[in-house]
Amino acid sequence: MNFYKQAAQILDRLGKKEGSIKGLTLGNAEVTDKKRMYAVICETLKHNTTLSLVLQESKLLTLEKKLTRSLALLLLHDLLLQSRGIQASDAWPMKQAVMRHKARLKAEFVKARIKVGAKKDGLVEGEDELLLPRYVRVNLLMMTPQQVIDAFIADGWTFLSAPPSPLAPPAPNTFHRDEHLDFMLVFPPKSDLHLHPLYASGVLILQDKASCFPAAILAPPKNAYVIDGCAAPGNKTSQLAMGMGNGGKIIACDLDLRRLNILKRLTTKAGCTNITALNTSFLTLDTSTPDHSKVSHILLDPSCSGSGIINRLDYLVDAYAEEQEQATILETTTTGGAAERAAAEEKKKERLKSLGEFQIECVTKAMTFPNVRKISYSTCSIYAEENEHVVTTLLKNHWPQWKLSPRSKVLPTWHRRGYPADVGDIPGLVSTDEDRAKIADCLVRAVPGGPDGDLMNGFFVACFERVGKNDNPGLSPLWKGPSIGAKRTHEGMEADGATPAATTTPAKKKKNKKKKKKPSALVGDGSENEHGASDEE
Amino acid sequence: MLTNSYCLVAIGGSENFYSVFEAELKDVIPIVHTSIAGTRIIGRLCVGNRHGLLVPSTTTDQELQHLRNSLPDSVAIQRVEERLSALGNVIACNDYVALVHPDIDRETEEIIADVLKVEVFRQTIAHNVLVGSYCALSNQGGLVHPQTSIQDQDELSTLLQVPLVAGTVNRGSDVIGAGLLVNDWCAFAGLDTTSTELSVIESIFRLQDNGPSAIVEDMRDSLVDSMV
Repeated sequence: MNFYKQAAQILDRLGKKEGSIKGLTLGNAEVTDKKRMYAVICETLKHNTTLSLVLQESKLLTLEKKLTRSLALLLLHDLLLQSRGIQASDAWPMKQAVMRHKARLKAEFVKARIKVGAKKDGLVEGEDELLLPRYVRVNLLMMTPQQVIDAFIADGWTFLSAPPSPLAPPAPNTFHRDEHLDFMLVFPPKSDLHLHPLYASGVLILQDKASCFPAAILAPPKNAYVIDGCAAPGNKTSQLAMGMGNGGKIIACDLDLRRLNILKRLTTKAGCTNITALNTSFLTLDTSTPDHSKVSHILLDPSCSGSGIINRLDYLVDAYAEEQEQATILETTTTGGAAERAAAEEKKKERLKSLGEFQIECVTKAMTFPNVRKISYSTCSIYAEENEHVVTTLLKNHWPQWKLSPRSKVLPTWHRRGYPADVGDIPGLVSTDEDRAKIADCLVRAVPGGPDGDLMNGFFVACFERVGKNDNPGLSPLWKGPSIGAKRTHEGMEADGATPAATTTPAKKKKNKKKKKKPSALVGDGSENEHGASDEE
Repeated sequence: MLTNSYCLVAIGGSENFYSVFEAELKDVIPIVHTSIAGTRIIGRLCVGNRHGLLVPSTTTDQELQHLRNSLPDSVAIQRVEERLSALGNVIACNDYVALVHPDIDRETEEIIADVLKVEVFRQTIAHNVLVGSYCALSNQGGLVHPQTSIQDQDELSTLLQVPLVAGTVNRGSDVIGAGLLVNDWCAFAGLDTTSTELSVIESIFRLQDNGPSAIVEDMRDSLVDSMV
């Protein structure tokens, strides 16, 4: 098939969100020249704003009825931005249709560049690309962070003892340790470490800081049985294995065999030996098999809208899809525009709703494992529908058997917490703003990008803990209960007063309160539970 | 009608008139005596630059042949079937860019781009569609209608990549195109043009080494001299 026709089809499908750029080009068996196709699609999307303006101003689509919008964009891109021009026979009617308007198009292109350039800085959009630091996780199974730091210093890098202040990516050729995760190093944006020998040997793992949160929060003990519910491509799984020192057992499920194979390759490279990969849906796992009934920790990172991910290409596709939509709206009617837009908005809401339902189903399934103690739930979404709302629903359905881990166990030093305003009411449990703030404080969020964001992808983590059979759940939605295991690992932190304001009170005060037997709804969350909850061991 | 590689003058003018041009341009570029469609208003009917010359469809075969014989081979000549037949009024160009009437034909637009080897922009100047009448352009600069807003001047200047100034000729006439001929090294202005107008023209078109900033630089040099 004609290269441009095929490319136009791919653009159309991207516009309808029927796949990803990579999937439709590099992973598409029908495409013969994959690299060229990928390049042409990326470049066209990158210059979409300018090219669309040219299309609109030159009225090319109304003059040449045969041209479709996507095909016109592609041809314009090659005509205006490629020195070799349109790579097709001069006899091809579509090329003729564009070439007939060459002078006009070139003029409109110059004008459009001035217009777009005046709006943003730089003539070509995309120059003000967001630059995130390159986060690198040190694989503790192979080396200590200090060894890696020494290796990089030997390579001529400068080690900064503290991150730049205010928050910014490190300057070129410098790097520093992350302040929240001690196995993480932060390098300047665009650092290419793919060819670094330490990466090749599996010591360095290129993983965004945000996606290290769930495993760091779940922190299963060394001999635990763990399930990673939606595991591929396996970075979080290998981080779990790292935290467990290759002890215990990790079951990694994923429905996509191709991605599961990537997981196998990556985790093997990272030297993980305790991982069993299962090509199955987490939702259909049998909870009663001997292995599964031993499972005590579950990490869930189910499919989400991915709205927090800062990937320029995704962003470009989104912008393109939106523009496409608006172009069709303009084409259809002038009055029906509002209705169409409302319909599109409705569709998005619908999608978020169904994603939320799926996510709730996943966590609910995780809660049915007979001996599971702790579940971390994470998304890379920025929408409350997939985050706070899901947590609210789960608490509503499963309290008091399940509670949220308090801030003291969920990255206490991380500043960005859940949004109280998005936490819904739960009858008898959450009704006041104070309750909401308490819940939100147990949730971890990351705001995508910078400079107002956290210089990483958008992220959300919540951690649920089971209240033991003999425990008195108390009336708080949070599980601060001193189950023995938890107490041992986190006592230090709580005693330090590292638990900031919103987890009601540090442990000491709780005891006082209990003695006084205050009838408040939020006290009594289980200092009396000290005898129970031993099944975490 | 003056460009960097040829000059057209109407037949039937006075010897005095011709001698003005001959004094400046003889031995440098050819001066062709011609009529267009039998008329003497050749500057308003045709348009051209170093690369080519466009004449309206009303041009006779004889005139066309005469032009072909007289102009250098490097200059392409083309007759244009355009409803807006006063090409000089609807097109303004230098050797790189042409500004044209917004309603000009798509085919004409392509011909302008091909024959004159320019980028073609549909524009208005101070809300006038007759861009050829209300501005004069060279590769060094441009003079536009006195009521062109600063914003429009900036936009035009970006398109043309040369400095522009709003001004008049012939003692306050805003029809610049009718009162001024300019190429990269000389300009001819109407008889009524005041010396103030002339100094603006000399400055913006960088004639006699008087670039827009020449005065400042000259003065600075002498000032620095006197202060040292």
